[in-house]
Amino acid sequence: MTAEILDIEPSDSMWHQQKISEFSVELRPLQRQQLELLRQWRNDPVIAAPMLQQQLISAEMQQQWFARVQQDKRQAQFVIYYKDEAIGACNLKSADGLELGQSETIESGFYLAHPRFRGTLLAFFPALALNQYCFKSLNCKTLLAQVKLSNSAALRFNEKLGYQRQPDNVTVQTGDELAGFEQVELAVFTLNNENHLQAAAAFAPFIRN
Amino acid sequence: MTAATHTDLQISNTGRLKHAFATALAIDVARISDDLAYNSIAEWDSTAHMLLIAELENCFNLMLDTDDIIDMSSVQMAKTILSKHGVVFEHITTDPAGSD
Repeated sequence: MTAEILDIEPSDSMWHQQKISEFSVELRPLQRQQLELLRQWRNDPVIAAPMLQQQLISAEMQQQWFARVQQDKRQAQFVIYYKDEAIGACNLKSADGLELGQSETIESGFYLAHPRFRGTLLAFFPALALNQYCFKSLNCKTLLAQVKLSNSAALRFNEKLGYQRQPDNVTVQTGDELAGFEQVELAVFTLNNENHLQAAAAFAPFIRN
Repeated sequence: MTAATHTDLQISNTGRLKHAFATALAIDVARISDDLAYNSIAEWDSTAHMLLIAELENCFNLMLDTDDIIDMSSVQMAKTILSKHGVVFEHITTDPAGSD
């Protein structure tokens, strides 16, 4: 895995400055200038459908969110690049309240926004890169993923990445007072380094150029 | 002899392509048609796609790049991509009037 520090103003970027280059993709720390792109992606009904929060995100809300997370060392936000083109976003969040690097359990999330790549083999590459980063660089012990039961593609996707589905689902409440509340059932997956390495080995022969 | 060989090659490559798909997806060769697409049947998932790429590379003795692997979303697209690598599937008619 290669990682390099980006030369950008700290106030315009996430606290983490490391770019991750692995599995044919690059994960670059989110920068302020990419917020509008992210907002447009996130408001796309196709992208929003599997998310817990369905409300449209305004530019102001997006700025407020960035101000909240920018220096939060319990999370990392990346934009996914393939051949220098932004194609999606991913993030890491400490699941035990500790800062990344100290946290043993991290929750990961990601989506591909570019229609060409959705559902293809490339969709696995940023997830593999992110998982590898967690185990190799952040010394994480367990990765956690929660997926809506209705999202059968994501359920299969996680299994291909080596995640083990836990016997019990969790139910969370989403929405707000205006739009109304909804109970959503989520499948819980966990991944350890051994299972990640096994999954990564299966994909490795298809990592080209 | 040249024409016969060319025809044999076409049949052979189409047959080899279908055989590669049938092997990788573990389905009957009769189900392989040009419009069969990735994720359109349960058998053609991401794991089968990797097996398919390996099978096609082995069968046609070539190496596909990442873009090829991503874009190989149907049997028809597989033919298009493999054609780019020099595999002949289409019957090519030589126009005698066009020859010098």
